[in-house]
Amino acid sequence: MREAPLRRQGGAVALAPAADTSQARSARRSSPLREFTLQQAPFILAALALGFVTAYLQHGFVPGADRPYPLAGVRVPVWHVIWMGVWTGYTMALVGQAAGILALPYTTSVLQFSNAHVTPSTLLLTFLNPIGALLGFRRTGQWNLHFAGWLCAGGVLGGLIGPFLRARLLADVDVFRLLLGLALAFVSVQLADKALRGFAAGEKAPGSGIGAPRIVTLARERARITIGYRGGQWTLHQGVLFALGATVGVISSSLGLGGAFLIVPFLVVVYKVPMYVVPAATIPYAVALSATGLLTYCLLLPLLGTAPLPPEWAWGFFAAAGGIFGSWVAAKTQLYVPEPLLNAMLGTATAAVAVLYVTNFFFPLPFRV
Amino acid sequence: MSGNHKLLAYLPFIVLAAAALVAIYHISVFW
Repeated sequence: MREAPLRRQGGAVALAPAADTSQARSARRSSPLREFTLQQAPFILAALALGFVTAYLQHGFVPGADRPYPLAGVRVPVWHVIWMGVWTGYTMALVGQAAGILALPYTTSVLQFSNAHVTPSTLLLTFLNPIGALLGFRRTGQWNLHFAGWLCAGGVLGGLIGPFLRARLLADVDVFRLLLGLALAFVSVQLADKALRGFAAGEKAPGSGIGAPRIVTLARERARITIGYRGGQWTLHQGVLFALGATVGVISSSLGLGGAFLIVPFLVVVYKVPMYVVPAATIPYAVALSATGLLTYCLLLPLLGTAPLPPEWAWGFFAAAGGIFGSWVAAKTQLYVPEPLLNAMLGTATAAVAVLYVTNFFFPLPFRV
Repeated sequence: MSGNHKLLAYLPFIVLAAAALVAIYHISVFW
């Protein structure tokens, strides 16, 4: 999501003698249509193709409006699953969140896919969506494995444990929705805070664009790591990162989320890591956690005597195809969007859903949630 | 702000409104 602005900062370092030529080349290279065709369209088409292929392989037909998804038990047109990926990916990327936190309640409440298979199906979305951004961040230097490594290792451990929690303690849909409601409440507080203070909108990367915009490892002493980016530096304890990754991993993989909604506030509040550095850790974390969670749901659960919980593969691929497109549009248009207002709207919506879920657990509501 | 940029500023709210309409359609047809 932050790929485009960072690229522009990197582009500003071009050497003066070749400025005209390089600017012309840069303009051609950065044409949105060209970028979409070369970098995004292949991912989107691959996800769509995999959706149809896996539907045939898993069920022998493509579920949709006429025939229900066998594992989900609901009829939903293919275009609607893709659309869900588009609008959740687009709106949540605009406010610095992942699609899953909105896609999951929409899937369980509006689309009524609320059994345990919804969690691995959404994990497929959280696994595929950030891959384009991950490759982009690697190209632009927003990448530091020393920073992300221990967090990801914790995420892998959490991804091995969380699915067992989902299969047992969270098997009941109301208990699952209670936990999801608490997660949504936490996200709504973050969005409300951003809306009120507008800190994210005003935050800029430090420095004047001089020097390579890379996240570098400045020191590694015992369990501490110091990273630097454009003049700023932050020291983090790798043991804390591992424990954080594992704890968030258990919660997120049991729900079907990428974990950034918990990791980001921790890194920002406890370690004062700025928002523009955090994706270097949270994006690879979401990929590692989701991949491990998916493997656990499909393979590890049956190996250890619990019934497997495979995802609706086609559902996840269709949603991811839309999500990749939505996130890309968000990256290209973010500068023009009134972010505080959007934060306020989405914060209100997530808070309302959170209240419904939590209330419904204690006092069953007279309508379906 | 040019016309295109104004449209982009409104786009998230248009998308959210469209999402709400599609959700209502789905609920009315498939529930």
